Amino acid sequence: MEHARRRGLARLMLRWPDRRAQLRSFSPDDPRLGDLFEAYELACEAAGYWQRSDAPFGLERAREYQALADATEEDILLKIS
Amino acid sequence: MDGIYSANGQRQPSSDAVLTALQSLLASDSLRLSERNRRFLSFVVKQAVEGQAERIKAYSIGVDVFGRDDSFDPTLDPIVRIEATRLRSALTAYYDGPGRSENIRISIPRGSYIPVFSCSLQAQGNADELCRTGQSAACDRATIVIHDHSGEGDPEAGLKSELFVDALLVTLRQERFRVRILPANDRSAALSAINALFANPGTACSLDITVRILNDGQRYSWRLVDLATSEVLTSNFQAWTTPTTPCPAIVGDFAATTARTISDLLRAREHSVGGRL
Repeated sequence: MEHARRRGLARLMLRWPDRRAQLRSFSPDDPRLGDLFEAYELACEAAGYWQRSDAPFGLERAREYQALADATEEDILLKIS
Repeated sequence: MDGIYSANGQRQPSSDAVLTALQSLLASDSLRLSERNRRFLSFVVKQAVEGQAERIKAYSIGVDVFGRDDSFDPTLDPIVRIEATRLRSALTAYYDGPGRSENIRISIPRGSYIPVFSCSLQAQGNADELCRTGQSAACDRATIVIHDHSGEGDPEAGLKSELFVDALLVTLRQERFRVRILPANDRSAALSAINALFANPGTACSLDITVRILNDGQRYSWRLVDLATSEVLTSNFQAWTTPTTPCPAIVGDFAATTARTISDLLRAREHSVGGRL
């Protein structure tokens, strides 16, 4: 869980270089944001998993998770702005 | 239908009050929640109110709310877990902001999808009408005033204690206490409000905390004092030597243990005296 939070925060810093300094000020265990970092990472990982899957609904599910990752990212950026 | 919906044995608002609160919440434009997560919230609340809390699992939510089929596997398809996190976050933001004055609050504690219903800590005046009699009401929990004795003259201790206070705020609020922090002197209005509480404490307790930087480590201590009697109800401390200087997670664990200790003690005390604290 802690790793997922850390990876989620790192992924956000990569995605948003202009907000990196601001993101760096938050701990992965921040009480307000830690769970959202983890949720973001889970959504990104699930999007990748379903993208590679050969299940008939794999691509549809990958799109769903990508949309969820985008929405979670928006939640986080809104909270820190 | 009235009953206890949460697993913690606390007195709960009536079913009608919860369902009315749910409708109000779902109708609010201020609640930042997708249509799908509004259905999620509605599903878990209605299941709980109908006494079907045992049905509230990742699998049933995946199938009934998110349209997954019978082969739904939450470990490969973590939609419920992710959306639950976003839902919790949205509810917290709502009750900390535009929904601050709501009488009934709905939350979904971490580690479970079963909702918990409580009377707003800021709606004491209406609480008696909204809550049913029971063992101990979320809306009746004591006020805890955190008084930090660490910072003066030692900036490092001040920083560490700030971390400890932040963690205590989260964990004490999870235990449904009203929490206040003794403010700096320049915040005169807040200070006056707390001084009034000291003068007429009612059910309030002071949580005196101290962080000390020692030669070979750090010491975190706390005492819970009944403001009405000055009796020290309980206390504890933890010391860490320098090689194991506490990280935020360790301080968070200590804060969580502290909040649970306080909660258990006050609940036991309240039962033993047959009154409220």
